[in-house]
Amino acid sequence: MISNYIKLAIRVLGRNKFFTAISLFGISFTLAILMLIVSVMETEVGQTPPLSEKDKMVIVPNLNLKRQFYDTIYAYDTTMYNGAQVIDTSFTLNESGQNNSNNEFAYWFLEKHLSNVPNAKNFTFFNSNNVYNSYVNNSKVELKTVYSDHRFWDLFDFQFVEGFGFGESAVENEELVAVITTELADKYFGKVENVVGEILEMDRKNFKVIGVVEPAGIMLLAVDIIVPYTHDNIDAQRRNENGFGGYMGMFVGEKNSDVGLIKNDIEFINSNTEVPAVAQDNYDIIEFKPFSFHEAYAGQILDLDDEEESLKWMKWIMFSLMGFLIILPTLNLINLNVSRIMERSSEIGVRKAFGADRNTILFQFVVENIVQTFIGGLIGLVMAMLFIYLINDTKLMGDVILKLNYRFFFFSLIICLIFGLVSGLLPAYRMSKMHVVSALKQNKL
Amino acid sequence: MIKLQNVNKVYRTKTIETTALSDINLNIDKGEFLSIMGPSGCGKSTLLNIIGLLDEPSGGEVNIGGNALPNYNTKAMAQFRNQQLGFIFQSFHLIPDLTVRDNVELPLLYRKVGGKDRKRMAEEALESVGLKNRVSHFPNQLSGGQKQRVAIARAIVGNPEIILADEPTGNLDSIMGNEVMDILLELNSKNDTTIVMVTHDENMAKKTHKLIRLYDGQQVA
Repeated sequence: MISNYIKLAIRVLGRNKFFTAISLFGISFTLAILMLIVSVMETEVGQTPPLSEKDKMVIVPNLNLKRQFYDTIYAYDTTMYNGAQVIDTSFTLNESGQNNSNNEFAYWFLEKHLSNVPNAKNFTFFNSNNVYNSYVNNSKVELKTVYSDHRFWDLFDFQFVEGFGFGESAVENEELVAVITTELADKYFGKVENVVGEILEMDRKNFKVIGVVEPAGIMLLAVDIIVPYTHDNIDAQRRNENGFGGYMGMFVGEKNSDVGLIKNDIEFINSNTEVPAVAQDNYDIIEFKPFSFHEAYAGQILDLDDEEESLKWMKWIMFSLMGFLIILPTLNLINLNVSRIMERSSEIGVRKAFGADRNTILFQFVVENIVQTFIGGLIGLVMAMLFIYLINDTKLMGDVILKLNYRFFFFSLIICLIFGLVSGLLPAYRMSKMHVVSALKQNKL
Repeated sequence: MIKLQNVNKVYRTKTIETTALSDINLNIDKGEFLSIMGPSGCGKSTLLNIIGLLDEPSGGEVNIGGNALPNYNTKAMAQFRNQQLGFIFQSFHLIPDLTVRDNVELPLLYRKVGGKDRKRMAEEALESVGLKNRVSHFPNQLSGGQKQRVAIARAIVGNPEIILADEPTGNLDSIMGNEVMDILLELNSKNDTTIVMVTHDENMAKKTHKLIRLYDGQQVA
């Protein structure tokens, strides 16, 4: 029976080609936009390399040093007692202001205080704030640089097309080695097959390329070159300072539920950490707050003071946007479907006369609508892939490279199914209730 | 086979009440070919719809094959129509997006008959009306007479006990009308199928076993 309905659905689409074209365009465009949003979400917050373990990660992005000032507020300034003026002694202490300094960490600070987080399976400290210029054939090549330790390659699952990442000994021995992206390899060395072993000049040093990776394609790790942190001259100068620098800490647990435990560990470490000696004259409070990956991402996008609040708002905004993008075209499609189905009232009358009950009619039209939606979805998928190609090719989203993977297709399929069900159910239900005799009298077949 | 007792049908709106049928009493035996005649608007099609379980009477009792109508729910009535009844409409009512074979298979689809059996039974029905060579055609590729023959094939494909025909020759010329009538007469005589037919045509009505006349919703003869 289903194959009959599918056959019929395809034939019905051919009945009024102009109407069908409009209908399919509406469906496919809506689904293309939804698929695009899915791809953006999947790329930025989904389980895609090199951050496949996002859900198990905790970030400590910056260090905050504060000195809180208090003001003495008297209930009365002076008062009279037994004819004499006396100074009032009832007062409260209120916060009146603070000295506040906020920045990323110096590597030494992270190494000293956050190398031993009990529930973290692994961790790394990295600095992604550096940009150097290099020149190739008189052309400037910009190098977005990350300084990090050897654990960087255990935490982030970059996809190596050549070579491998630097190990612990390379970092300790301050070896001049680098891992670069395929994009940088093309820009710097041209279209050569193997660049491992080639020399790249940066910050007046010659680095030997030991590995080439696919670009990360996400904001957090939008880099061209990764080198051992021991070459970070600026950080080296900060060894005796207040703990500020350019590094952040990233921790990963065994499972998703470890995120809460890791956050608790770091908060505990924070509560037992003193302000660095050199800063104690100016500050008396030290804070380094841990956030889940998604909280940190939401905080970066929404720029509210509280990352947890940012994540809640971001979820609301995303759900509302998706809901809005689904509801409006669904309502439109319901409207289109109602008028389309009304054209087939007589057919419904005939089917009922020959034994179709209400549920059978309902099922038929829902199947037909799902077929129509899937055809629209297929077109929408092609459109989405085209949009993604154009966005990546023109770098419309900067360093973000949208990805297509099996999860993208799976979610796209689910969206099509929901869309087809929701937009088909109401018109089908309405028609299934139609009285046989009334249906037969409508538009003669 | 079919028994109607004091059946009436009243259509009510907020302001108007229209009596389409009043106090109809009818007995149709198995294998009988009955014609219903009357002027336009006298209730012929309404009576046919009630007999065919397409509509419910406002009062009275309808009994088909020993089963009383009020005992049926909507789903049971749909099933009964599928198993026991076949319909032929004046306007043919073939589904334009289905081939001739798919149209004829329609009642079998709702009986959950398998694909191969459906195909075989549909082709047999089409052969009995002389249209086996048109199985893959679409309705818009057929003449009026051919369409009605396909409709007849659809009505008989499931071997129903009763066929209800609402002016089956109304949209056909005399030659095609006679062809269709011959098929119905053959069905009635060979297979003992009970046929109830609404018609305006006296000549067609004379060929049937029994004739009843309606006037303003009432039985007059």
